[in-house]
Amino acid sequence: MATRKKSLLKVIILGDSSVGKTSLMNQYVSKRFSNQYKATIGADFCTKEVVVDDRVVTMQIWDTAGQERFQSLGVAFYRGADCCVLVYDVTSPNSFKNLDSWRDEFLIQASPRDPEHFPFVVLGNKVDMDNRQVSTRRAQQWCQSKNDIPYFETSAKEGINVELAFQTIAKNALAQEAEVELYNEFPDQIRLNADRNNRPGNADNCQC
Amino acid sequence: MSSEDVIQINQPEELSFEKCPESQEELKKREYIEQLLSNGNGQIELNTLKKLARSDYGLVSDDLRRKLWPLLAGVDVTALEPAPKLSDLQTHPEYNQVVLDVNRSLKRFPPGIPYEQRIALQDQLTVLILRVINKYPYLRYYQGYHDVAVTFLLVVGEEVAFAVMEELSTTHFCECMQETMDATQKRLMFIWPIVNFENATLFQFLQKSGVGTLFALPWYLTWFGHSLNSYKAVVRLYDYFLASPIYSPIFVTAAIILHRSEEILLEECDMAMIHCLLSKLPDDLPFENLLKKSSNLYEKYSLTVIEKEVEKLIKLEKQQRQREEKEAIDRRKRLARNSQSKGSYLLNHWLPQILTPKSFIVTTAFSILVGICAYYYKSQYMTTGIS
Repeated sequence: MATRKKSLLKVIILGDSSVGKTSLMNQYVSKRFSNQYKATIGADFCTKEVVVDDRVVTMQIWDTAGQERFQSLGVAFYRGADCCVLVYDVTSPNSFKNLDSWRDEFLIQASPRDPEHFPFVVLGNKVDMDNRQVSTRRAQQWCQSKNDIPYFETSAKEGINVELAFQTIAKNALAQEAEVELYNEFPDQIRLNADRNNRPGNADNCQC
Repeated sequence: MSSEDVIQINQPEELSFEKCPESQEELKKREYIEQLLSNGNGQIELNTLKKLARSDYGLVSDDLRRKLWPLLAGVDVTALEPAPKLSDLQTHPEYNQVVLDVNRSLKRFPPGIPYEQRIALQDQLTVLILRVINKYPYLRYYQGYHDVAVTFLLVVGEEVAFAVMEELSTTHFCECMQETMDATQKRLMFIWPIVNFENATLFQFLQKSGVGTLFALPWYLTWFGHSLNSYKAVVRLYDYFLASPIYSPIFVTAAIILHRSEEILLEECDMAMIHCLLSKLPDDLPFENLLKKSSNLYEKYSLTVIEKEVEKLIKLEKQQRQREEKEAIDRRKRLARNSQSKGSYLLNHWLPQILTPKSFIVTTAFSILVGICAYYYKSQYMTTGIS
């Protein structure tokens, strides 16, 4: 299909305040870490071109505000997501507990076609810190209970596992996208296809 | 997988505290204000003060702002209460969230500020915020409120800043501090009728892109303090907003969008691209012109008319959403039907292949062969059986 050449993967990063969403995105996209990030208000995104299974795809990574009161504002950009990254801070049990509500909220707002099989990836961030409070086992158990969500322990500060995690995110997002395209074979689905065509293939214009 | 190209980076940019040399006009205005202050025994009549704060260069210097912001905000500096200790406020439910945000406000402090001084100021900032929401339990803290508070803390100091924040939180920001962001979300939509009245082509383009108003949320919640890279521009805007009617940031936002119309119309009509373009404020925005434009727009369009247009827009968006949802359901139904008929299609697909002339000949030949064999075995069995 013609649309295949212009693949754009939309990825949404969710999680509590200060778990490191912006830092993870920036570590992945620009291999940099700063202590001086401001709290994110509203939403920002970064794009990065990556090669997955010999295909060049553009990943559009949306970074969101962590404060609960901003959640309802996300509808517009949750829609059409190909993968959702749930982040918690391994030194903050609360941020881990809240993964449930972030996942539920995403499924409600994004209303993906097949919520049971929608690709999520969980990242336990800040493993470089020595006051860890959520064990790997506990996190893995939670992920298994939610239809085997892939789980990675990362440090945005030291770049640990960030590349690997985002590779999986890209792969799973692509699988999701391929499935959407499969359904697009039917003629009455062309409008969806057209939408995808309209998305930016060349993100060089982006000046964020 | 290998990364090919890094296209777009969202790096934290330094807030520029660069002190530009005072221009001739700025100097003239500063001297004029100083003269007024000394003539009025440290007071300036409120309407005169408002005009000064709104006109070119605002109140010019932080020394003047220290004296005049409390007057503009309607705060009595002779009746200030001493600030409580941080330890008295640590049990507040929002304490953790406030600390997280205050810790991430480093770039709002002047570079080179001694570490101890910065830490002390950050503690003051936490106290300042918690004090307000403690005193007004119906006001909810939001991320971005700290950007407003830090601006006042650095200019007027902790005690006056509390009085100013108290005043603003119960007026300008009270809508943003409600339980949900619904009212704020609706308020941000006030941008659209203004843009539409002034430039219908631009409005239609932006609507078509589906960009929404999220790009302007940090501007509105922080009076642009969160998003601008120049300290001078931040305090200049605060002069203007302190002296202006309550929804002025909406009009400044509309003025910025209208100012950037050519650039916007050249961009791809796509939600992400337009969001990206709009959320990044160019460093060279001509704020003095934009503030004049904003004041003109405010004079030109009544809030009642704008609100009616917003109601229409909300209704249209709701209809659009319902239509999309219905289409999605229909699509899924058709999809389910199609996959059913795909099942029978599979059967039809295979049957004709079985019934080709070639298969017909093969089948017939095989049947004849079986018949011959049967006859042969039968006759042989019968012969032997009898004998």
